[in-house]
Amino acid sequence: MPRILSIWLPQLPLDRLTRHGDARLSGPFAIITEEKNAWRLTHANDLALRAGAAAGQALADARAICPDLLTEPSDPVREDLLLRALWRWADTLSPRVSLDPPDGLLLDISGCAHLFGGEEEMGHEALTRLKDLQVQAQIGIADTKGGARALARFGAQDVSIAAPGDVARALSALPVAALGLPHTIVSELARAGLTTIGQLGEQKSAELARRFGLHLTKALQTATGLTPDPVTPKAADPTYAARMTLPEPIGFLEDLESVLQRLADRICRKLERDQRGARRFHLTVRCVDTGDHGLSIGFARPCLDPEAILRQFSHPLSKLEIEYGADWFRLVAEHIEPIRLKQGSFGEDAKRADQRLILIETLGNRLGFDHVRVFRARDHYVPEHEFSQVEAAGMTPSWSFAPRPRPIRLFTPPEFIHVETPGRPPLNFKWRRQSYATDRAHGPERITPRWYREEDPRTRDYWQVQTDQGRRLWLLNYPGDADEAWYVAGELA
Amino acid sequence: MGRADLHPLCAAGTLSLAQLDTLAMGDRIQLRKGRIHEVSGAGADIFAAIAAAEHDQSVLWIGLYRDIVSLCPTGLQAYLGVETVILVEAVSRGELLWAADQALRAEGGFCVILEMPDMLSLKESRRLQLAAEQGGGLGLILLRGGVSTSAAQTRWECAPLHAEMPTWEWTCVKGKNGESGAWRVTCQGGQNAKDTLHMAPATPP
Repeated sequence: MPRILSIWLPQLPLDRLTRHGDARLSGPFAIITEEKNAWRLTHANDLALRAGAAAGQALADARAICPDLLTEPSDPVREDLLLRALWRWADTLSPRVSLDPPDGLLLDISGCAHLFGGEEEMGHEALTRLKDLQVQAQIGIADTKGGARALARFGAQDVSIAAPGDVARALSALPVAALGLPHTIVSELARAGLTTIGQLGEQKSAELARRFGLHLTKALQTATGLTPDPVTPKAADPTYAARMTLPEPIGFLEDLESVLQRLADRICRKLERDQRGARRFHLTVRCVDTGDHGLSIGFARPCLDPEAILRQFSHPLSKLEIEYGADWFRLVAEHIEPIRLKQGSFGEDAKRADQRLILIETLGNRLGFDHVRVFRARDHYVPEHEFSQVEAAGMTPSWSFAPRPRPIRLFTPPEFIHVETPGRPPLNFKWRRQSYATDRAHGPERITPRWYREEDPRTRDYWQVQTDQGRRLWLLNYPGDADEAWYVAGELA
Repeated sequence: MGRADLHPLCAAGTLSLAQLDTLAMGDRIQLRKGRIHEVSGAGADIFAAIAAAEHDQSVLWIGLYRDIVSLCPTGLQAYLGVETVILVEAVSRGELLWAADQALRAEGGFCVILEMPDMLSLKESRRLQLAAEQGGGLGLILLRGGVSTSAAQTRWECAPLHAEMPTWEWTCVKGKNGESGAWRVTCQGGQNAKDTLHMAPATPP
């Protein structure tokens, strides 16, 4: 029988703020979340609880009860990051750890407990270490996942243990909610007079399934170990990061660059070993007086070349203002992608492709990668949707499009013109404060946009017009429109 | 300027295709590589597109938002390999110049088309010229806001003409090495327009 240890982190969002040294936590404080258009408390600290606030309360009520209550909306993303950090940390207890979101971890501790001197000692050791991390926790140990979770959340002590083979008895006194069932089932069970797990065990499971659904019987069976429910551990993704702490702060650009060089070398060695490259790098520079500064760079392709990292960081580094110096640095590789290591490029084409990508990276890191784009053909017939501009980074150059008479400049939205002598198309008109006279016109090319999309549904007539003044314009008119307005949609070659 | 000494440039209008460091457009027009050239007028886009097509490298089209989003590749593809174009959208004059400088300076000799919304000062054009000399590419500056004294090698005035086929008149109004002349360029039709351009001097050489 496996032994499972469940860690419950009841105040994870509050612990996150405590770890950041949030001063507001010295008074009544609560985490709130919006639920059905009302703000409700999800977690409250001891002072708030003592003042009468409680989790689940509406914020308005809590404010009325405890006027000096301070609150913060919950931040699920950051809380998840903290949980994941703890997940990696839990490797110190057992090699088989799985997440139990939103606020728990499950460890398979079969064969691990004796290393800590027994299960109870192991539980207390884990609590002590978590306390050092300023994280509050409760622990349950049982033969099954469901049992361990129930004991962690509803057990009487900080470390509740069900002896091997004894999980059914240990759970019998716990309330039904400990099985982690939906609220509706719990309240229905309460109406039927079933409040503890022990009472459920006395019922015929066929009866329970008929009245409350298979959920209930399945939860009961997995919790008591009648159905296997193993921990599926997943190794945390490797992080490619390096940091350096210096005894004395530094501030000269050359010094910063040499620190960066050493960090980049370390990360790139790791990346190269795993045949991976990173599309982004983030450098944190902690100044002794002004705190952390974050610098980011991106690449058009997965990169593991320290030289390239240094080259792209040179601009943001030179912009960094350091007065008294920085003494802590951390470089992280993000957006990890597998790469195939290849021999240095030979041949003219490979060299050109490299030069092109290097230029895209240089421009993208300063202007933003969304500002460096290439054309991409689309399968469409409305002129402005026949192509799109997409980020150049990571795109291989390609273009295939059947030739059509199209302008070289396309104005969206089309520009209104002043018709002086009407006609189809107008004989004399004014556009951009200049007068034009139509000499020849070719058309119309009639296009009906897609009525089923959110776009202008009017039918369009496009005319190629040669003006006496020389310019060749692409005029647009919506036939059937009452006002007979004309527009310049583009300029032809 | 060693290169200028090594390759004396013929007066534009005489034929010299084999000359190094120069870019032959059509029959006779030549634009020197490693230099910047200014283009103005309503036909500047097409001049730049044809020149860029002759230059066998990636093309960087740098401009402000309105210039970049109005480019229409479905029409440009007749004159220019659209897959070689990289669009660079800058949000300020400073970014425009920085991007053009980086692109001209970059190794690889790119063709850089810069849409300049206002006048380029002598200092700025000198910096771009130095960058172009370093990178060896071709710099084309489309002047949208008027011309001024500059360090460019040549300046072109391009106007579309009223004719049967798409026709433009390209006039070289300024040349550092004495380039001058005017050409009438006609697109003879056909799908791949850049192969069927016809050029004739508009004024006898």
